[in-house]
Order: sequence, then C-alpha cells, then structure tokens
Amino acid sequence: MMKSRIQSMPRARTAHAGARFSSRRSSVRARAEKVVGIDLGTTNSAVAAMEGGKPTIVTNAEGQRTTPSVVAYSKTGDQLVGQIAKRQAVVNPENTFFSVKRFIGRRMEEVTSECTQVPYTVVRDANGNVKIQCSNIDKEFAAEEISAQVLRKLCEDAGKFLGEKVDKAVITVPAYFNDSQRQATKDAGKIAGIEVLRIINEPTAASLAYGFEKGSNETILVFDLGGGTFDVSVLEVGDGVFEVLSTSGDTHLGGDDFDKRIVDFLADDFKSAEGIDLRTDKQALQRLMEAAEKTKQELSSTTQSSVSLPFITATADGPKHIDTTITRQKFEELCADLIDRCRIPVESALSDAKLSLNEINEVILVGGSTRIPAVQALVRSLTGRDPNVTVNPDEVVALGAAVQGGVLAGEVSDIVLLDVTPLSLGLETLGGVMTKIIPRNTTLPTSKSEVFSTAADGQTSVEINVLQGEREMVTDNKSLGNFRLDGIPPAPRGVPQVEVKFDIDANGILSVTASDKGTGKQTDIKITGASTLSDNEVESMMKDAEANADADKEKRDAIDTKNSADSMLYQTKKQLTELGDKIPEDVKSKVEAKLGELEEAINSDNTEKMKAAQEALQQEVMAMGQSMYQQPGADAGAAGPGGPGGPEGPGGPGAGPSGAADDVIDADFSPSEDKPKDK
Amino acid sequence: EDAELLLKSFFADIRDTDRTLEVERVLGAFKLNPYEYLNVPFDADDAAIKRAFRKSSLVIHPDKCKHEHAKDAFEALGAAYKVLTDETRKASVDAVLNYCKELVSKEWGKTAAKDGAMRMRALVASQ
Repeated sequence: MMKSRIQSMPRARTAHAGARFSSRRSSVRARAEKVVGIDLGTTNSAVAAMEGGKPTIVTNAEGQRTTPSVVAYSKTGDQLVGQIAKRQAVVNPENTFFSVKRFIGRRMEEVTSECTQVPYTVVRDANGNVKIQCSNIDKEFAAEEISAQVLRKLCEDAGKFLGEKVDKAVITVPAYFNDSQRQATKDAGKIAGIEVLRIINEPTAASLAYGFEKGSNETILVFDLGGGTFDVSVLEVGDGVFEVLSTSGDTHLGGDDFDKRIVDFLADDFKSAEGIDLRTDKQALQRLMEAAEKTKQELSSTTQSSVSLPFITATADGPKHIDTTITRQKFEELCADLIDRCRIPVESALSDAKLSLNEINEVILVGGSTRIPAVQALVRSLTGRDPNVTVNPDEVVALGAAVQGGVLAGEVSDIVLLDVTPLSLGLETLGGVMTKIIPRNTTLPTSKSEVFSTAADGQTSVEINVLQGEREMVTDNKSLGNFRLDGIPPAPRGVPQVEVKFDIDANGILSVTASDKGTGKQTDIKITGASTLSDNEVESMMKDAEANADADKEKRDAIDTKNSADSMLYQTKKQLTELGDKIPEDVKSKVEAKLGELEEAINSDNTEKMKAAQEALQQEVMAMGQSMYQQPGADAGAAGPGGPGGPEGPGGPGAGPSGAADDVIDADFSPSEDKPKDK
Repeated sequence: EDAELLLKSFFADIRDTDRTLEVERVLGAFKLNPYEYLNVPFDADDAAIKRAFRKSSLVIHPDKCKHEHAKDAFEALGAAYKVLTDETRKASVDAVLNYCKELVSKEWGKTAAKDGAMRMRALVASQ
C-alpha cells in the first residue's frame, strides 16, 4: 500500500523512470547514515531502525528486544547498564538507578513523592534541581547523565546489530512532557554523544507506526499508559499527513504507581502482622518492588498470583517470610483510583479536539500497563468499542520513532507529522497571573512575538518569567525560567520597545530571542531558575561520559584479551598432551617456548604483551598442524585435531573433539589428504 | 550506478524546485485571504480545504523542505487553515470577501454601463 504511494510522486512526471528509480532506492540509500528511533522509557527502552523501507526493532547485545532503563554502579565502580544492572538491583539497591525518567528536567519540589518511592538517594543541588547520589563511586549524577548512559548502550548495541556506527537518533518523550523535560532529554542525547534529530511524542510515534502501512483516512485515539506516564492523543490520519488534534495526559501516572500499590499492600500487611515496616529496609523494598511488578504482570493473564518472599527480614525470633496470594479483584480494588484517573485525560483530549466518541475510528493501546484487564475494560467503557490490539504495546513507539527518523533522513518521502504543543505557554503579568501567548494544542512549529517596555525611567533590563501550564495563577504552573533582557538604552519609562519572539520548534522546545524595535539590535538574554542543565554543564558531562566510555572500552578489551589468552593456553597444552610424541621434537620445543611467553604475559597482566604472545603462539600452532600432515604415515585421527585446531586457534574448544568424531566416519570413505579442502 | 544516482539527484532537484515554488506561492498569498493560502476556490467544502492543507503540508513542512522560509510558510498555511476550519471565523472572512466582491462588481458595472461591447461580452459569457 505504502510502496505504491511512495512511487506515485515521481511517476506523475515520468512513469517508468519513477518506478525504476524506486526499485533501486534501497541500494542507494544503504550508504546514507542510519537514523535510529529510540523509545526511552521509564522502565524499558527499545530501539528501531528503517530496514528495507520498513521499521524494524533492533535487538540489544543480550538478544532482547527491549532493554531495562537501569544503570548501576558495582562496589568496584564498574558501570552496568540494562538487564545486568536490573538483575543485581536487590543486592545493590542504593546504587541501582531506575525510573530516572521521573526526575529528568524536574526541580526538587516537583518530585517530593517520587523521591520516597525509590531506594536510591535523591538530593537537591545548589539550583534546586534534582541530583542522584551514587555512593559506590562517590558522585552526584544529573538525571540526564543516567539517561545518557542508557542511550549510549542502546546506540552501541544498535550499531553492532546494524553493522554501522549509530550517532543520529529520534528520541520519544511522553506527549505531556513540558519544555524542561524535553530539553533535558535532548541534553541526555548530547551527553551520550548522539545527535538528536528530533524529540517526538510517544503516542504520536505509535500512530506513525500504526498508520505507516495502512494509509487509510481515519481518526484515532492513542491511549498510552507506560511505566511512569500517561498520555492520550487524538489524531487525524490521511493522505500521508498525521495531524495531532489534541493531547492530554498525566506525568505522574504509570505502571510504577500500580506496583507501588501492591508494595504498600504487602508492606502494610506485614507491618500489622509482624510490626516491621519493610519500606525502611532498602533491600527488602527492592525485593518487594520486584515481586510487585511480577505479580502485576501475572495478574494480567491469571486471576490470582502468589507472592513468595522467603527471608524478607529477620527478628529476634528468627527469619520472617511473606507468603500470600493476591487476586485480580484485590489488585483492581487497590488500584481503582489510579485506573479511574485515566478517565480525565481521555475526556479532555476529546473535548479539545471537538470530537465525540463515535467520531473516533480506532483506539490504539500503547505501553505495557495497557495489558492490565481493568485498564482495557476502562477503555472499552469509555470509548464503547474494543481497542485495537494489532500493535505490540512495547515496541510500537520505537517503530514510530524510526519512521520519523526515516522522514527526517529523506528515506520516507510521503509522510509528514504535524504535532502540537501539549501545554499553553504564557508569561507572568501583574498580580501573579499567567497570560497565555501560545495556547495548548497549537500545531508546531509555531512562534509568537510580544513587545515589552520598561516600567521605570532609565531602566536598562527587563525580566520575563516564562511559564507553561493551564492554571490561572503563576505559582500553579511550571516556570521555564526567568529571561532577563539586558542592554536596553536608558530612556523614559514606556519608551523602549523590545520585541520578544517565542519560538516553539518541532521538538516542542522553546527558544526566545529579543530585539530592540528602535535600534533593531539583538538583546542579550540571560536565563536563570531553569530546571535544565546549562550548555557548559552539558559540555563537561559529555566529556566526562566520553572519557568513561573510553576507559570502559579499554577495560573490556583487557578482559577479553585475557580470556582468549587463557583459553588458547589451555587448548594448546591440551593438544600437546593429546598428540604427544606424534609432534616432531623441534616443533614441539618452539611451541612450548611460545607457550611460556604467553603464560608469562598472562601472569604479568599486560594486555599488549598478551596480544603479541597470542599472535606468536598462533603461528607456531599453525606450523605444528602443518608438520603433522607432512609426516609420513600421519593418520586421519592425528591430523584432525591439529588441522582445524590450528587456524581456529583458541576460538574452538569444541573443534577438536567434534573434528575427531567426523574423521572416524569420513576416513572410511575419502582419502585423508582431501580433508583440509572439505573443511 | 552513476546513472541511477544522477537520476535520483535529478528527481530530488525537481522536488526541491516544487517545494521552493510552493513556499514562495504561500508567502506571496494575499494576507487577508485564507483561501489563497490554501489555493482553493471560495466555494471549496471542508473536505477540499482539508485535502489542500494536507497536500501543501507534505510539500512545505520544514521536515521535508529545506527552504529557509519553509517554517514561516508552514505557519502561515496553518493559520489560514485554522481560520477556515473555525466556523465563526470562516463566516466573518466570507462576509468580508463577499462585501469586497460586491464592491468590485459594482465598480465593474459602472464602467461596463458606458461600454456596449463589454456588456455584450458579459451577456454572452453568462449564457
């Protein structure tokens, strides 16, 4: 469907040339740099890329299609990212950072409830922004840095999978993210050394992936309940244009909150029975949280789930265990108010789009939490129809981001995405009231100019407090920072006219420029009180991260070399004893000499020496293999292990025995000198 | 291979030219006439307006078009579309436009009254 539409543009001019051109397109495009789409989730992340004109999920180094968004620092200071970090969370709760997305681009006062939900320590820095404390390497991280480490791993793994360097990406964020959170996500990409081509909204990305191949005209509602955020978007799709009509959401509602309810239930239960609050014990809390997540997931397919946590704590009476059963009904009862909260954004998105429910053609569920039967039931009761379940809720966002990457790279030609700003942008005016200048659900990119003047004679600077939100009063909305316009020529009050232009780009990120209307000169703007990092901070974190990545690579290289040297040493020794006196004495002594050198290099822990010694030994082993064939009366059984063992070196512990097994059968049918050619 | 690349860049050039022309057309449209921005007749229905907006968006959206004023053109197009999809705003624009049309035709009527040949031509055209 989409293919034919891609071709239709050139074909309008010259029919056959257009068709031929597009048939060669893949080979021409192969040289273009890959742009990946990254779904940077609260709990899990996924990566996708355009392969052969279709978005495809890229598996990580562990072979998984999603990667936990977890970063940990071990006692020895090693950095762990992804599944391995998640696995050791129970034994290292204070240095395992997850759900960091809840803190990105936020000020401390916005996340007081989140701080108590995580076992690691969250502190406030000098500017009132959130910092995450890591005791194992004694460092304070910005949330951007932790996210950057996840992004770095995702891109490295994607690079390995795709066979080319990946340094351009489209990253998704919840649609209801404000300017600071978007800017912070973009900074995280920069710290990871990735060029972030675009920040796009998760529900919009989902609709792109959904509508990419369908190509029909319809109005869809995307219901995106992820690990930490909830978004609703209403879109109109048709003629290749994906137009977002409205967006609404709740940035404090997600799967984590459902887990929290189970944790609280179990902990309260335990407290009333044993008098101990497990939430104060970080290790117990971590185990409870993992059990809660598992239970929640199980309850999506079964009606009851058992929770068994032996040795959760110990008292003077001995060890204590949790062994209980949670039914689906109980779970739904615990989360009833959370599920009910999903109702509000759906209703407000529809009213903003000026649509009624029967004008919606399709409801798409995105995010792992939409697997919860109660959530699906809510959607059914709200919309009066069965939701579309053809998309994979964990992968569809990354796939959509890859499509947008393709659009930006020019790979996908007949699609355009028209997104909106989720929150109104405004300024503080007299009496602490917010005056809106760009209303929510305005199509991006958009801009608006306002003229400011001075309030006192001879005033040379004006300060503007830029806000984002829907509430009346300034204090109820998010301040994006104080923008100070300097260098206004002294004049009587009200005379200077400074034109300030507010630009919201396609990423949903605000930029402000100001010029003096009288002189036409650009005015300097200084921003204070923003909850994002300054350019200098981003720069230094980027250098930091790069240095760390290089050090990590070196460390990994050293370990790999040592492992392969060890295995080669063992293999060669084994061969020497197996072949015994079949090897000529002079060859044997040479091999033994090189073996000694390698052993020495391993003992001295010198990577360079190990590499050199390995190389030298390889040569000798090959020579040994050769000499076996040249020997008069060399039989097949002897040649077998020597032959394949030589060129393969340390790589094949299995090569020796299996080669020998083959030879026993083959020897009856074919002459032994043909063997090396067959192999 | 070279021929393919050449062909590819040729089509890219044509597309870029189309995009440039469309950006210039939008930016050159008369400020008070949203119909001109969208390049639709005055009696276009909602579906036609939507189609025109989508078609033009695909050409001039800054994601697709590298023209330095693509963003301004897209903003202008979007503003015009917003006017025409808002019933009350569309009604007021239509009222202004109809008034202007009346003025023009009255003016024309005045000049035509003295010109027999012109009146005859209008008569033939109306039949």
